[in-house]
Amino acid sequence: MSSKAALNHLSFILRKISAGTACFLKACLLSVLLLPVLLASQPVKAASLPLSLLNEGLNDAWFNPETDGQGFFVTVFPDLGLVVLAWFTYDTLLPVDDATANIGDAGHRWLIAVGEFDGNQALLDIEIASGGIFDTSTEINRELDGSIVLSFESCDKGTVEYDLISIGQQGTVPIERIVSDNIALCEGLAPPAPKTCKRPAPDLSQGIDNPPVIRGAIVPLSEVIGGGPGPDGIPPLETPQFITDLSATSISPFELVVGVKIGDDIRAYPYNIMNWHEVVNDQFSMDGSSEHVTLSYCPLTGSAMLWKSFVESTNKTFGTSGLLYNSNLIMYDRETGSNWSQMLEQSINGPQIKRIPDRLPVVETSWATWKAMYPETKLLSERTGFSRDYTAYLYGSYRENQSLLFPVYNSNDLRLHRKERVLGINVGSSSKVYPIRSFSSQVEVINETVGEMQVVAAGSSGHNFGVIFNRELEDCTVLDFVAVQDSLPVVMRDNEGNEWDIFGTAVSGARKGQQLQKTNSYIAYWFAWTAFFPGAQIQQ
Amino acid sequence: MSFKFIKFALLVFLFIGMKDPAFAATCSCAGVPLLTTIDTSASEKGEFFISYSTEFHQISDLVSGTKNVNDETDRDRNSFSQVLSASYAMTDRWSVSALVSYVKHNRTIGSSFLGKTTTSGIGDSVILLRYTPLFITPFSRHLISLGLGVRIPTGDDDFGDNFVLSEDMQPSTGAYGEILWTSYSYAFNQAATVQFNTSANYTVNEENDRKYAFGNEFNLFSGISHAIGSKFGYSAGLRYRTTRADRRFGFDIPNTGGQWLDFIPGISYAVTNHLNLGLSGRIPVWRKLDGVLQFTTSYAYSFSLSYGF
Amino acid sequence: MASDLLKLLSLMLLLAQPVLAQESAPLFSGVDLNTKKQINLSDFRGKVVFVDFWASWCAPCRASLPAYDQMRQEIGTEEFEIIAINVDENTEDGLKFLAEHPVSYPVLADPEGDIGISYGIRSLPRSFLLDRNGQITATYKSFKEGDEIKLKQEIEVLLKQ
Repeated sequence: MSSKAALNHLSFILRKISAGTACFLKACLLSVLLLPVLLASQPVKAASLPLSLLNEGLNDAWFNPETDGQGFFVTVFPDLGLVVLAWFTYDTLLPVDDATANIGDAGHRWLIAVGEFDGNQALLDIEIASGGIFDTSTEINRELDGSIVLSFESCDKGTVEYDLISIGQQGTVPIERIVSDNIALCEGLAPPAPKTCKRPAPDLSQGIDNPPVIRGAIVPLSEVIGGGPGPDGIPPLETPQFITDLSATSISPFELVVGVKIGDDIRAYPYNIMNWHEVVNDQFSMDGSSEHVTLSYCPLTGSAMLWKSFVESTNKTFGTSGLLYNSNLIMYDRETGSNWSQMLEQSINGPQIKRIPDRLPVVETSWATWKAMYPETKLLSERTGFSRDYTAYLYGSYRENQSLLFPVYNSNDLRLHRKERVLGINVGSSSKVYPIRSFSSQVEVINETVGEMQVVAAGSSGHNFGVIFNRELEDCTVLDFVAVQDSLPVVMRDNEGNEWDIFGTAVSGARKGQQLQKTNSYIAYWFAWTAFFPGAQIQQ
Repeated sequence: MSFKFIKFALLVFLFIGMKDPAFAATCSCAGVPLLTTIDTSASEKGEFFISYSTEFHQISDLVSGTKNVNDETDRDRNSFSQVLSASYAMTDRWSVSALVSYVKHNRTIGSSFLGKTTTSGIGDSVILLRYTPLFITPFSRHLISLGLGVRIPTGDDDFGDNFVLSEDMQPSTGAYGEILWTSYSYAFNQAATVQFNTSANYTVNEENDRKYAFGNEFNLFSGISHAIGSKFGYSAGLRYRTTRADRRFGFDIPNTGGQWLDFIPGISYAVTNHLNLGLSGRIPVWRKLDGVLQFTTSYAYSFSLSYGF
Repeated sequence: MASDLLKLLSLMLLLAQPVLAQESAPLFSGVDLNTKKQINLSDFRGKVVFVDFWASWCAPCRASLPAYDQMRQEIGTEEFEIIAINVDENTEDGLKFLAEHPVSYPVLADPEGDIGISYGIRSLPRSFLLDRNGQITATYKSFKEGDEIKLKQEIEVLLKQ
């Protein structure tokens, strides 16, 4: 039914109401007069559930207990989206002594208000009818006289907020049902309340929560060893340059890169450069302003992280401390000089001790795969200002053999080859790894639970990547995913039909633009993961 | 001309039979100046010989294979070592030498926000037993000497400001070592004022507590010395050194090990018949370093004082 | 070649046994470069003898010869003698020095080192003081000006025996 037709229909209803006003008034008056009797016979009912949408279960007689002898009649037309409110009340003054009325009291007044509703609220226009005679067909005059906002917070409580122009008065009348018989109907017709469940807050710490501090550090100082080059002896890149003309590069398609995508700014940092510098202090535009970030890659543990800089810092950069813990890079922030364990993603000593940085996602994959996913990517340039042979790998056969260059904890856990690249995740005290090579050569998706978190791992041995997200949304919806092939960067589709990319962003479907919650996960060599997080399960 | 003087002249030159640090510019580094003043020895029965020597060693050349590379990190790394040694001839053939070292390492990386790192302390010690079946006399132009020694980790190897610094910054290697040594000299004249000397030593390095072992090392020195009058002398020689890669847990550490050829000039002055002074230097001539990149010797110079009685 | 090797071996073996004090001084004989007469150490038994090994290239040796000569004159030769052994490989060098700085005591040439080796000479100057019985009572490994004064005193003690 069109709105115009609905309004015509409503006018018809109103005429009928007007015609039957006497009967109607009698019924309502009776209701109002009998109210004390009615109330006495009704058991007191507990407050009902919050109401988010008006429905026909509200069709009932309503009143304000404080104003005896007055009341409302509410009619909701859900299909029309309309509400009609009849207000039975009195004049603002008692009638003069010599005022007369053949039926009822000279002070009786009634108002009709009609309007559309949205959610649990309706905006109604008040119409004053005049020129009628009891049970007689006459020409009726109707004049608009203000408005009413009718709201229902529940199936048994509402408010009438009025603004009567003719008398220049505004007010709010709380209303409740005279009888409660229709409350159940109303609640049954009401849409289900939005889920109030709270997705568990993410466990921010890779390691144990609130680790003890011994001798000013959260790791044993005797196990923190100088790597040799000294502070910034492995020089970080401070003003990285990028190539946009990718045809001019000679990078191997199989070279692994650390891929970063922040908004439309897409950059790749190849391992062959990161091996020599380990830290890149860079800037990205975020939310309209330039933000400092620090990308780190430790070639000995094969781990890459991207941290946002601290808002309060003047110097927002990190350096390489020259120290190692479990053979893993320890950075220092140049604002306070605090040391930070890369794989613990936490400050281990200094003024910032225990602080966890704000982490941003990275995707590590082959250059060929990254470029295919993001052909508009920029590539970190070898023009770094340092005289380094970026075609040379610095550590001989380290990547392939079982050698350890520094003492590490749990070094005898050889369930995997020490240099097996694994995607690891920590959830509370639970830890699990997914060897990249264990994923199928095409994209493979695994839906499961790690600790108390429902996760989805997506990876490919052929494309050499692995990522893992929390598949429980904020509203506690848990999605199930299947792999999507040949559509990188799209890697998976959920049970609702939404498609998600390698960064966990929905790129199509009703949830387009939504982001899966990131997890405490990254890729590292097996020996390093088991050194930091012993006892991890291994995906078979 | 006292043979003592000539012998001391040799001592100064052979003193530079030190190990210089092989320095990797990567996450792993190695090298501690092990002072093996192998030729410190008394030669005639009942003779005592003590010496004090110092060396300043600048280790800031960045090398890839055989080529120098620019170091944009503005690194300044050096070591200052002091060695006290004593030797005693038990017989005319057999002598025993002992030396103890005190080492100070400095490292500053100019491009870094963090300051200088310095360590200092007692380093390693060496005890060497030497057998000389043939020596230069007015009637013999040849000297042959053989030695067997042990390096003892008498100092600290866990220095650090809360943390433990890398092995190359420790005063001591923290590990025992076994030394084989041999020396041959030939006098060109009866006065032995002009001599040719060649010596070689081989050191086997054991692991320290952190399972780190410096690479086994071989040194070969050859040079000519010339004594002028009874007071002055000079020498020039070449020292070839090669080390195997350092190891941890039995695995080779990348960017350690290599070959070095250094030019070693020196001068000496006999203050008295017993007291001698010496100055010498070590200038890299050629090197071929293993791995991709290493820091290595820029130059070194030393001063020594010895007294025989 | 073979003779050189033999000599090398003998050096190694002989030098294994240095001459010590309180041992009999090895006997030797040779021709005095000054008088051309045969000199035998055994002929000097009963006298205190100072055996001095020297070479023209040895600076302290060169300084010692005149001092010893003077000392000999002061002590006299009735009961004392100095026998110098020149070990220059080329005896002409020794003769040349003597021509410029003559001494009055016997000087024997030992270019092959037979005498020097028997005395275990390792360096120069090297001197030995023998008593009347041919026993070595002292060994001297250096010379500086004034040493002859103390030496003279030691000789005089032996002369009184």
